[in-house]
Amino acid sequence: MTEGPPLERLTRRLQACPDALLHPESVDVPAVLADVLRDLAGDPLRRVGTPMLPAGASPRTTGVALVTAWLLADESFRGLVSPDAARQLIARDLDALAAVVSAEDCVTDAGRREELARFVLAALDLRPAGETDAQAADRLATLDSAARLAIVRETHAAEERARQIREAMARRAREEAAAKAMRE
Amino acid sequence: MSDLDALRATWEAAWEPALDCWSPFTRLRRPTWCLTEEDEQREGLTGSFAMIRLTDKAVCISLRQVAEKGIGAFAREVLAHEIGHHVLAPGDLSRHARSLAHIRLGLPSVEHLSPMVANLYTDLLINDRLQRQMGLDLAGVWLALDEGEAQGAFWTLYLRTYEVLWGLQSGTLARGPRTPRLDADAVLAARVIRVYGRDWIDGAGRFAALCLPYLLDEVEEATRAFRAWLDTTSAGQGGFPAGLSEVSAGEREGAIHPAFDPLISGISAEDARKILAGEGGGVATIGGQKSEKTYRGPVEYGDLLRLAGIAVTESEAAVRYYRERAVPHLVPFPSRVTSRSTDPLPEGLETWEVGDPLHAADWVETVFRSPHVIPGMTTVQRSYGTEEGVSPERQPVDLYVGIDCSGSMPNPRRQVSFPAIAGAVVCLSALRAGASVDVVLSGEPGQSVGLGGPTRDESRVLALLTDYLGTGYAFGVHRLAETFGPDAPARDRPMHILLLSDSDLFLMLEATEEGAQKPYGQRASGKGPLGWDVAESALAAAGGGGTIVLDLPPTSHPEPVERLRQQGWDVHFVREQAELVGFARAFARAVYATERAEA
Amino acid sequence: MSHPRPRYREHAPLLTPAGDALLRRMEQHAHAPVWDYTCGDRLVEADLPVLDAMCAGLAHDPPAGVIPDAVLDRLLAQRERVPHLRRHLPDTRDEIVRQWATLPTLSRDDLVHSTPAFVLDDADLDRMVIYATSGTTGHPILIPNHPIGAAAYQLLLDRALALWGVEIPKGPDAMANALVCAQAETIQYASTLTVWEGAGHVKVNLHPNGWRQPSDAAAYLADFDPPLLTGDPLSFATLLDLDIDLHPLALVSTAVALSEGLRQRLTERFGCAVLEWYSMNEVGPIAVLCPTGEGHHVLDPSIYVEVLDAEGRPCAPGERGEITVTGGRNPMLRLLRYRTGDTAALASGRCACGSTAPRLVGLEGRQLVVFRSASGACVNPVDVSRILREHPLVQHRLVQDAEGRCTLDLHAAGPLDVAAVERQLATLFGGLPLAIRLVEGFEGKVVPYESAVGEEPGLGR
Repeated sequence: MTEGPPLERLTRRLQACPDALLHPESVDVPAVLADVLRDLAGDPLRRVGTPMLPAGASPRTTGVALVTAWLLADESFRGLVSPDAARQLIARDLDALAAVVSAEDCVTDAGRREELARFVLAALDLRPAGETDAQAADRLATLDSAARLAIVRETHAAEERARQIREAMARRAREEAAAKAMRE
Repeated sequence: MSDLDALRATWEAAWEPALDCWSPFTRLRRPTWCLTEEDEQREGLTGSFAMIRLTDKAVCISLRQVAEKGIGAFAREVLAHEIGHHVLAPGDLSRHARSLAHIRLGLPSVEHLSPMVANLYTDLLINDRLQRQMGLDLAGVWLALDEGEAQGAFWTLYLRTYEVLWGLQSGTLARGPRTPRLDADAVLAARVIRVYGRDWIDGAGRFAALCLPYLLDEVEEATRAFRAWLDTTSAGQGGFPAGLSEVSAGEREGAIHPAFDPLISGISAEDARKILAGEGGGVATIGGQKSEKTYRGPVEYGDLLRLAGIAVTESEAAVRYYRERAVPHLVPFPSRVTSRSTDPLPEGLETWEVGDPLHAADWVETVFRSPHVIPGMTTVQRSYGTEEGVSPERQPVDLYVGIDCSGSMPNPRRQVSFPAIAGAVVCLSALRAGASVDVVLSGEPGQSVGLGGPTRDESRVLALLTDYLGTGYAFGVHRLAETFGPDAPARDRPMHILLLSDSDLFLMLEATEEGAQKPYGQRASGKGPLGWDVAESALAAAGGGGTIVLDLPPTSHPEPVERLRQQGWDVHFVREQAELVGFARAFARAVYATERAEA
Repeated sequence: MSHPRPRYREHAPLLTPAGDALLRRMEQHAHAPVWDYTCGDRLVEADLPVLDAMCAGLAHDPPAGVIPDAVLDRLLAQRERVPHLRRHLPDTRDEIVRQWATLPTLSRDDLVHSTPAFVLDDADLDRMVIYATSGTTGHPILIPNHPIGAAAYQLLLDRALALWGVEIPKGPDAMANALVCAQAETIQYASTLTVWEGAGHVKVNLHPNGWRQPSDAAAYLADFDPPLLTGDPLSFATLLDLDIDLHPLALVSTAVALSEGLRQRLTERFGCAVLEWYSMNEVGPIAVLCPTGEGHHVLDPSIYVEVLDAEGRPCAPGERGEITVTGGRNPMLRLLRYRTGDTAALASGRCACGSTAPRLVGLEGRQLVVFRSASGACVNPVDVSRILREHPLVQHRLVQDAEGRCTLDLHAAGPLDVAAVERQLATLFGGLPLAIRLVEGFEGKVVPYESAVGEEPGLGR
């Protein structure tokens, strides 16, 4: 991995994301994305015509894509990131994250800001300045919302039902049982 | 010993800086230092090296163990942590007990672990704040105390939570085996600490629900592993929290796994529902008992007190419980302007607790003590004594309360008893107004117990109201003769008779004194006057009127009801026992709030 | 019509005015015990068709040697809705039958540790009722059940009594059943039972503590003279001692093993059928003693009873092993191959009584243990359990030696008030020497109660 920008710089940038970008319906999404790519290429006249988002991209993915575009437009990425890598990130990698994290969270919630910044860095094969590869991987794994949700689906749902049964048992144990003609 | 003395000097010196971590105005007694095992035993410090007591704002540290465990260098960390328990969480006894109520619901079948989980939870809140905002090295304390023992899953989860909170490389503190699931739970636990940092009691049930599966798997290991850390498990000793009979907002709903809390897991409420519904037929929502939406029962109340480290017997818990249930319905204290019979004499200051009436706090004295007001800690109220005044203008009428305590009534110590709440409302109101009270519980044929005459002693009144007989079928009308008959001791004030019963009272009215002890069909026979006659003459002798409240529909038994009214009784009906409380409130106002009207 | 008694709205929604009159007669009797509990059958209108269907299903004996169809039908129907079945049960009828012997068995520990795994996903938790049961671990555990599961006892009792040629008169004009106990302390209540057409049922304690006057117990029971008496052997022994003027049609002994000696004395004294009944809270009724005395019949086609060896393999007919049950009448728990801890052998062939139902011979369940207090009076282990239940314990073991000295080993689950335990037990045992030891755990299977004092009650005179 190559050393990328410091993490704090990126989370601060996310925090400063313009409100307008949180409303995809009022934004010319392809234009914004194309601008970012041209910036990264350092060539304002370069053609980046192919649409970056799949045609049926969900509103959630579009939202996260816009915030990601805002992040990638940070100067610290210039020269570090190729337009192709950025295109691939936006077109392919964001779906899973967007399924569990909203664009708004990526701006307003400290944990999600850090997660998106780390997610983007990792997808571009970068690590935050001042961290080792291992540290970066460890921290990203810790913050991984998609992985966590999978676990919630797998185990926690059954556990929550189990907890409710135990709670009912504890509560009912304090109350009267039903009369029957004998006891054990 | 000289080593310990030196240690003591260092730790003494660290006290003020530790206080400064919270607020320069924090006022606490200096810690009690234990240098020997005897010291520790005397202070009740067993198993752990530090502890707090909320009731007297005590911090107690075993320097002997501090030296032994090699954490002498962390004076400020340890002391600031203990202070945190007094200032941040739990802060005071009432919050301590309420948080236990939340936690208990998150730990069904291992409720007895609630005090430990409460301790661990508040430790997380305090340590996170000290480490991140004050720059103290709490992680260092953990590392210093690590003796390299195997860490169970719960222990690992707990330490992993600190790693997540403080951005530490995994494995720094948590050495036990980790699974993706444990990592996910640690992140959720860390989010509970951050998201509910301010309203930490609301997060308590969530934290407990998260701990539950781990605790079910290793009850004993967990109890053993954390023993040395528990510093709040006897925090309630010697005190009494107010407002605990009420189920606080969010308590019942709060015990949910944080994975399903949109505020924490980032999951949307809709997704949470969907996932839960995917599990078979979906998660049942458990409805509470309808009449008891906002109050817990006396048994649960007593359990909570004990979890908070307060030793109470079943009857003590019941007295506290019914007093608390009655207080909101009491008549206001007679205004001092009109009450010339007693003069309040300021006697001194006592702590004003959260839950005491707001107007009772003495703000001047409070601010004089400490400019930084912490309710329940620095707040004080004046306590008043009374002195016999001169020439009372009007005597409130004394009260005789007769309660049907037969087998058809619930035992107030085990189930919520509306007759007991209603009895407490009228009796405590009467006592407030300056009247004396006599209470008779009667379940006849069988037993009757009474106070043996009017008293002003609130604790005796409440102890009897929460007692239980469970015999017979009705209030023994013939008992009235013991207080109002020709052979009864003389009384110098008029008395109002209030009877709480049901339709079986009519059987008693129809029975002779001897017949009342006999089975159905034979009650009109035998010696002694009929119940009707006893009732009539008692009402006349009491001199303060009489009220009978019956648990039955108003239209049933029209004839005997009419006969009671002709005797001069005021007859009321309640359709459900819960209505008794409303009746008692209205009754207390009608009979005992008159003095206020004169103001 | 308004409910005759507000207090019973929740406990007995189907209480009729006639039932209410009976209830009052039982509650308000001049010699009534000190009631301290409200209890009803909690049945609602919607339960009645379910119970009717259950009744119809009981018309035939279960088959011997194969898994009853009713058991298989229900397993298949509920396979997707019970976590444990989802995990372990094959998804077709043929596969279930084929793989049966390899399906995992369940221990009591499994049940205690993961009770929710055996509850239907869509079970209505609002209707759950809890029975606390003290098992072989010595510490009581909570078993969820349902009002229908409780009512099933009455229906199965009818079936069992029919085997003995006895029919209990039903209806809201009389007390049909007294459940008698003999303990220092236990709850007492009066109630009516809907499935017995509103007949009366009381639970009363023969111990003098339960009454206003010691003579009340005899006067009360003699007055109602219930045709069916239920209770554990110790309570029946106490009944013999009290020599109450009763004329029951049947005595049904539950909870612990009834010795043949005591059974004969009861038969002689009361001149009626004396049945031993084998049931457990986890699955409901399992079997009842055959009138020939040659073993216990399984009467319920909804339960499958196996006898397994220590390795979990089915025992050959006549070979003793652990009784293992599947199904049963507890709607809140769906147990698969649950090992009861009791032993017996499965008999082969038709019983002398003519029944083809599966038959357990040599049943050895929980054994009766009786302690003595300083005065020589019987102390029921249930009283010890009741006291210990209030304290955080994992397990306990109480041994009384021939001289009456007691040793109590406690494995605590949390901070324990040893002084309080000592005080409460001292009261129960009238101050006999008692040594309490705190232990970190027990080795192997724990026998919670052992006593070396005296002979069996009821036989001593």
